[in-house]
Amino acid sequence: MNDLWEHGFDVRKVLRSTAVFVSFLIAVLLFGGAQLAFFPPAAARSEWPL
Amino acid sequence: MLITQESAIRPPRGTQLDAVRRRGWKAWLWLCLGGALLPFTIFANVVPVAAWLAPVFLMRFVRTMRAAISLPVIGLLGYLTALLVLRDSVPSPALYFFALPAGLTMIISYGADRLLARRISGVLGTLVFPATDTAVNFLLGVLNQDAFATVGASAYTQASGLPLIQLVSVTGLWGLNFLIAWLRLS
Repeated sequence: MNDLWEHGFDVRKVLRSTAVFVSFLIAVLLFGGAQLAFFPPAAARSEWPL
Repeated sequence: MLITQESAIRPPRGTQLDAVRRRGWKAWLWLCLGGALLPFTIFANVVPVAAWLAPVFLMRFVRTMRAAISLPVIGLLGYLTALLVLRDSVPSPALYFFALPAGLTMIISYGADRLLARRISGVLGTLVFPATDTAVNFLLGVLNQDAFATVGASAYTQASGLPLIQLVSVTGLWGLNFLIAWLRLS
């Protein structure tokens, strides 16, 4: 954020560092989403009908 | 154009001096904003988005002001915030020592950024602060063997964001700490 701020929020001037951070963040969120969707904790699994 | 003695001494409007004054005034505003959000990034009364935003303003303050002013101020702010947040949880005499690492951590992390980040260009420069902040917090966690060892870690603030905290299963607490610290710079 501060690199962006220092360059007047012009993404083109700090494109590489912003892109690296954003892609890293997206990868983390995708990994987390996939883990929650495909490997839910045992307590969260539906066991219906009981 | 007639140049009088007075106009030669006094810098014209809109000069660098004015710009520095304006920037100085704004820097204190960023400190106030960051300082107001900071108590909501530690321990009990956590607001997850404050943990991402407060350090952005504080980093802006440190990068705008002279290091001789900004680093002691940021250390004092960290110390006072820890005193405020932990006042009901830690008994009084011990509290003053217990809050010290919060201030020291901030001085070391923000100081490393001031010292190194401008000299290392590109993506690597943005990693100076998160690497230092995570390393210092990790070392404090390792050295303190009690239950409060990692109490200041910003990863705790994201406990409600399930997709985000899945990272902890791979990297431990410090991977998420690194990611949150990285936002300040990138």
